[in-house]
Amino acid sequence: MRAPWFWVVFLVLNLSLGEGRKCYAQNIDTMRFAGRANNAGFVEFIKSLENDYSIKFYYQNEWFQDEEVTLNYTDVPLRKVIDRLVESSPYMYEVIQDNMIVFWPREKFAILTGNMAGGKEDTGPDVIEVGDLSEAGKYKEVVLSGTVRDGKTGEPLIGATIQIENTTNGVVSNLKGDFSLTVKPGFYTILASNIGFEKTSYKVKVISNGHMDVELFEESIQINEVSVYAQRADKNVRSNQMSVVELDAKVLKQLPSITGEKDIIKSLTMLPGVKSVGEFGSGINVRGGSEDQNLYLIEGAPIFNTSHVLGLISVINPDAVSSVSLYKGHIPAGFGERVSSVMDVRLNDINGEELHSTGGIGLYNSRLMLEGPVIKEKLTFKLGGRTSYSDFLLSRMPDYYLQNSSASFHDINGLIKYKTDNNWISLFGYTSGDHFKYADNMEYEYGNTLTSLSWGHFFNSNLNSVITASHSGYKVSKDEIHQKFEESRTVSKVNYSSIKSNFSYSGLQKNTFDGGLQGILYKLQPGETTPLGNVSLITPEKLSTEKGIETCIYINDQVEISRYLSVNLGLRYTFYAFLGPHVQQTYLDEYPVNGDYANDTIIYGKNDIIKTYSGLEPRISIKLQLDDKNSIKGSYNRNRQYLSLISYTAISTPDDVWKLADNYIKPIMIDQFAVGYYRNFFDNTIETSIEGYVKYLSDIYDYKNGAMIEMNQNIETELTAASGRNYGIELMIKKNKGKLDGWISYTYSRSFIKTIGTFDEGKINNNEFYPSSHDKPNDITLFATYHFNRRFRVSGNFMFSSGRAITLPEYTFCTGGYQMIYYSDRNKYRLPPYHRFDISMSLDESLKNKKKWKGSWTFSILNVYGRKNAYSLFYKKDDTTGANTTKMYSLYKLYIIGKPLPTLTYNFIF
Amino acid sequence: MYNIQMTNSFYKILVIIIICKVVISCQEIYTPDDLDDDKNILVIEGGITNRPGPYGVKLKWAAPYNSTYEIPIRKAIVRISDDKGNEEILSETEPGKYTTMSGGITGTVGNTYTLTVDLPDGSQYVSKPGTLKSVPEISNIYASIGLDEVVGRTSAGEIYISEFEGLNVFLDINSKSEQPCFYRFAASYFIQNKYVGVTGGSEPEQLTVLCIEHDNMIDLPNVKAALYNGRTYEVRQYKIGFLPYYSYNSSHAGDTNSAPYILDWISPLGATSSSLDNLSAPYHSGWVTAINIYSINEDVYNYYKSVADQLSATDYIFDPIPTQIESNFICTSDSSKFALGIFEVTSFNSYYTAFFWDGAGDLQKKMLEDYNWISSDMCVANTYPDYWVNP
Repeated sequence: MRAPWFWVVFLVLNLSLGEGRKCYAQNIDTMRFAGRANNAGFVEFIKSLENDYSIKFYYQNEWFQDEEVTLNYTDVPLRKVIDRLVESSPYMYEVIQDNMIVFWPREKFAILTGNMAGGKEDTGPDVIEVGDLSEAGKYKEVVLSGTVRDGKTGEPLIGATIQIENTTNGVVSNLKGDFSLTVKPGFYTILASNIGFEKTSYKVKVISNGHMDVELFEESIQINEVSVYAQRADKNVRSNQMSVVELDAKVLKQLPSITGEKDIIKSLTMLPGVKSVGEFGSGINVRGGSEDQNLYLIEGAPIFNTSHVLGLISVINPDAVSSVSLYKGHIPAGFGERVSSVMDVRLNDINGEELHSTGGIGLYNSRLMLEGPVIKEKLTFKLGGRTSYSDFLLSRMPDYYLQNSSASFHDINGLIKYKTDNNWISLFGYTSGDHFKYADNMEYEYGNTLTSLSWGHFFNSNLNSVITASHSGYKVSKDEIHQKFEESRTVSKVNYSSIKSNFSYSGLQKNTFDGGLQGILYKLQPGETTPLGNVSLITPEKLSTEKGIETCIYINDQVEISRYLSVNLGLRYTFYAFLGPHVQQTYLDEYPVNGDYANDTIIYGKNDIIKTYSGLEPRISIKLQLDDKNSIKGSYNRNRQYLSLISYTAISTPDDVWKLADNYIKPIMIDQFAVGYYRNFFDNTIETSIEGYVKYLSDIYDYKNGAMIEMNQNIETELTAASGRNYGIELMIKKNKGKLDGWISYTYSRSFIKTIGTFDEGKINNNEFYPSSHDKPNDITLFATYHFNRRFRVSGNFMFSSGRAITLPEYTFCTGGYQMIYYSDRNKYRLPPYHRFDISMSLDESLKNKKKWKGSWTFSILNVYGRKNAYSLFYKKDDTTGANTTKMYSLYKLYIIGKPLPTLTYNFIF
Repeated sequence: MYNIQMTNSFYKILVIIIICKVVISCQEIYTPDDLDDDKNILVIEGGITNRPGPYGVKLKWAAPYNSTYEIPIRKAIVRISDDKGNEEILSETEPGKYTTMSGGITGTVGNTYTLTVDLPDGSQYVSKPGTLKSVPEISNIYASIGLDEVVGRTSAGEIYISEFEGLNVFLDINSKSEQPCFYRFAASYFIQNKYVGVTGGSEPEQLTVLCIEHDNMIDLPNVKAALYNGRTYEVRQYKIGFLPYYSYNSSHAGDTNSAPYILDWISPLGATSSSLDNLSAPYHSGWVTAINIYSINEDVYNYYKSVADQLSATDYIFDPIPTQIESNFICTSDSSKFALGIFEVTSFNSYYTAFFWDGAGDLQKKMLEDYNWISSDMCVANTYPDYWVNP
């Protein structure tokens, strides 16, 4: 139902175009009035004017039916009388064609003439009109929503900043590229920017709630001079999300990495709050969390092992990646499953215009990726893969056994996407395989298989949904081949299936809702051993399978309370059930959980409910926008984790065991509080931030002394329950543009564990807090790039961190002719500090648009000053002492890269 | 068409990585500073076997890591008792060494034994009771020709590998038991080398030098859990060690390392250093192995396994985080105290086996009953000693 005033406007427009015109010969400005009115009805009065003068009034009766007129003039221009009529009223008039007087509310009049409440009038041809003209003036504030897209590919851009010029009003586009701003109707200049894209401004006339598309173009396409760190909008200040790291593939391209290979996961360790064990070893530790507390999602499907070659390189092909978001704190309610972080990797930015390829030759692998349209801008695909081709690095490792080992890997990823105006469907597939033979002792094979199918639907400009079905499989096979009669193969598997639906609604002025449901089915085969060969005496053994379901419902509301205050409220409820079939050993109450006190074995049937856990997970964040350069944010989140990796090594290995929560192993729960202050300087050239956090972990587990994890049916007997406490402060100063850019970050963080066992065997360090094995209090990173010109740049990065906590020998004693050692309390000591300086020189590809083949070179030197950073300490027989020497064993330090390591890499795009 | 162009271009570019110099990693001795090593930690080492005593128990304080000096504990009261009511208090025969009397308590198969230690400070430590298992028997000991690799490292830290020819020695055990069985092994051997030459001097005489050199077949504690074959627990084709053709330290008489050693033995016969020049290369006539097999309890098996794991820890990238070696003692007077070490209740058996080449050059095996094991290196000249196999 259109508003009545619309018809007035319609008439006015028609009249102005000459339609339905009546002819009135006289001009209102030449007419004069003499007369008197005393409490006369307004309508009656103007009708009398129509009768007395050759004029015509247009209005709505209801506007004036209760109005009265009192005046007394002897000889004045008629216009003065009409002015007097609308004086101090909410109405005004317009004279059309000299003798037609149109009344309408002042507010509506302002919209049509540009004299609106917000902004300054601009009626140029490039002004984009947003909203429904019929709703002009209906709202004092309206919601301007939109989608930011890559102008070249049409794909949504995540994390783009949308800001109203000269105001503090700004937002960041979400995972779908959508944004919404609450503004008063009016004229504005909208500034849109994103890393690697040209900053663009749009002149907008906002009439009512409405939608606009914003397109950004890569700089190399549109401009002559390129600064790869394009002027970045003040996303860090304006975004409601805190404790998030967002990397674009273009940013990752700048980072020097080990052996010249781009590596997304390892690159993240250069940012505050993200650490790794060292050059070797998979995964990351986020804010003191263990490696398994991170959820790695690729196109919505989780990956369970992120490393190739046992940690030398991560499994994510950087060429395929469009964006990476790592949530270190305040994980949105739409994410769960892990307690420390969520890394959301998206591949969906596909070039829909033309077929092109990227690739490169690395130190131990080659990679190639193709992408392009099948049906232009409708059906697009991306297909990439990597494969290793040598054991080059292994042959140079310090370990004799590694030197005589072999390793190979491959990974293939593919994405196909079909989109229409209101729908899109994407199908993603990924598979990886690793083979690792460790001398003549053992042979590993492991691999991930991921698939996901997503359907997105836009109901209207304010409501959309995404439904994703995903499956992830992880399989490890380990062959023991050392003893002919004891050769065996042990296989473990993880199967994960999920369906998730998410709805987003942004139709309200101050609220943007996200909500959804998710169901997850876990199926684990912890281990199955079979003999290898005909003569092996190994008895086949199969550990009891594990099965669990996790369901959740969540809602997230982004509330813009005012331009200065916004709140994000999230709530997630999870329900978990551990299901049969399963064989569970039970233990006597009031006794330690070990085999000596086992009192029964219960055999559960298929889908029997063995144990359930459930709970609410609130997520809250608050942003106080002090001005356009300052903001303060705070957050709290609770997360639960029902699937954990049981490890008793400092570094994750394929031997580690995935374990579902059950009767004795409870789900991990974490409560994290964080607060941050963000300030930018010099038109966002300098970003600064400081974040502090504290995390409380409950129901985490550490291993008992002498624990035997592998092929253990009753793994709960090897573990002891513990709680944890992590806290830290993260500072970052970042320069985004200019010839010299980069950042300095410093993190002070601690990660402690405290066992809570009541029996001696479960007490580690006498149940007192002790540092976790990834506790590294001080961490400094300095990264800088100097751009000599648009193609050539030199980068350097320096890293310093405290050594990780370790256990050292304190005493020695001889029994049976053997010298043995007594170790300290767990993690009582610390490795020497780690520091390293790397440098790289890059010659980027040509920026000419028409050039098909574009190649880039990177020369890098890792560990320029040859620091022998301790990777681990181990205790072994001393080569330099003989059997007659009392001290036969010594403590050794292993370092991975002890001297400068230069590499030259070529990458190409065509 | 597009794909063809792409492929060609791709291979043209497959070239491009240049590794200027790759020097990856290494290892070096690490000396930790500021260790907290000023506490007294008791170490107990003792046991009882199926063989007649006396049995010994050693008590000492563990030494700080950067030291090797262990202080013996004197004036403790040490008792061995069994579940049949037998008990004996051991006498301190040397500082920190306590011994049963000859003819005192004797290990009997089937009995369960406990060691109790009362220290002068009033603290008491008691071992976990251990049952003396039946005497183990090895079904078969045999060898086959093979190679052994020894990994060494130069003073510069470079890894090198020495390869030795010799015999792999295996054994089989059929416990005939339906209960889990655990074994510990100790094995050594000596190698027989025969040199032929002449004495020095104006009237040289024929000289035959017969030398034996000992070495351990096993450097680390060697334990093995038998596997169930569907009827009984057994160990099959378990490699117990390696016998090199030549001792690791000397390959022939002309070696500067071995020459003075041989000369010490043959000089009383009138041989001089010049005689060594006339000696032949050693004729390697065989080996004699001594293998002790111990039947142990599971806690002792776990103890030795953890010891072996600790001692064999190399620079494996993925070695487990170090954990304490658990003893089988508890402190009954103060739960915060603990002791290191082991009280081992075991029955054992010894096997002596000779491996030698017959006249046809074939490998032969000979089980030696009641063999008089010679436990030190020695050489004799011109006369075959009793212990010499296959004279």
